[in-house]
Amino acid sequence: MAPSWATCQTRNTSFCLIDSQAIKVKNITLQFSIIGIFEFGETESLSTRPLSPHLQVYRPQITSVLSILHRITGVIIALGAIVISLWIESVARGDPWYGSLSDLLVSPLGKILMIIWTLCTAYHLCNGIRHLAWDIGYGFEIPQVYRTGKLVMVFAIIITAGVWWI
Amino acid sequence: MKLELPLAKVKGMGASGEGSHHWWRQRLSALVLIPLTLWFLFSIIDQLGQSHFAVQEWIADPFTAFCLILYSIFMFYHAQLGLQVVIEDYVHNRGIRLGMLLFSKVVLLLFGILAVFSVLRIAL
Repeated sequence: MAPSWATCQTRNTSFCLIDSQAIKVKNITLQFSIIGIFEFGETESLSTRPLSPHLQVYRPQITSVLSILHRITGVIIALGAIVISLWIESVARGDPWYGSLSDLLVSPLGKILMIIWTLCTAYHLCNGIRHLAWDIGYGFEIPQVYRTGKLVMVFAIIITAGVWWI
Repeated sequence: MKLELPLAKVKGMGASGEGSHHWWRQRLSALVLIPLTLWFLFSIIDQLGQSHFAVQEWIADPFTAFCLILYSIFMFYHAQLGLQVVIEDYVHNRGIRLGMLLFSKVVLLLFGILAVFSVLRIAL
């Protein structure tokens, strides 16, 4: 029979089970034999060991990168929303306030920040639609996930370019 | 396989003890925001650098005012829901987490109200 393996963990012991050896418990046949027991100290065992998706050693992939980008862009948009709110308020308040904020926004740095904000919004919008499609059960196959991921990036750039340069 | 207990199903609560309202509201607000965001992106850029009078005229237009108010409400609400998830996922200290949740909610609520109030002030 083909070797199979599993790991077990108790509070301060980790051990590895491997290969087949039939053990009958009531009517259930369990097949394993212990080839090694690795002891860990109480403090070292579970508390200090890394949790499963340790990002430090993960190779960035389009799936994970786009996923975290969705959150980062979301936070940036929320910060930009505060600026939009202040901008509308300055219009309501009157000209000197509107003028100074408007000058800030059309300055080179302001323009760069706003293009970044536009790109973030366009990306979050497109990727959000992708998420909504997943929520109703479409696009889960890996090739589709890659294709829609690339599509989202392309559309985000097209929308940003369209907004700023058309 | 269903992991939800019948009682939990009746109460509409999941593992968080809070129910699926948050998830639903995030999706529904996202859906509303699709057309609003496209409209906002394509119209706000034209207004940048315009004179105060021109922007005032633009916001005072009933259609613009209507869309701006809707956009502000849904966008700030959606932002609050999203930030909440981010904070809940990454801030593990209970005290700091609670503080950040309250802070983000209050700040976004205030700026949302400011935006809606300002539009009304200009339009009415």
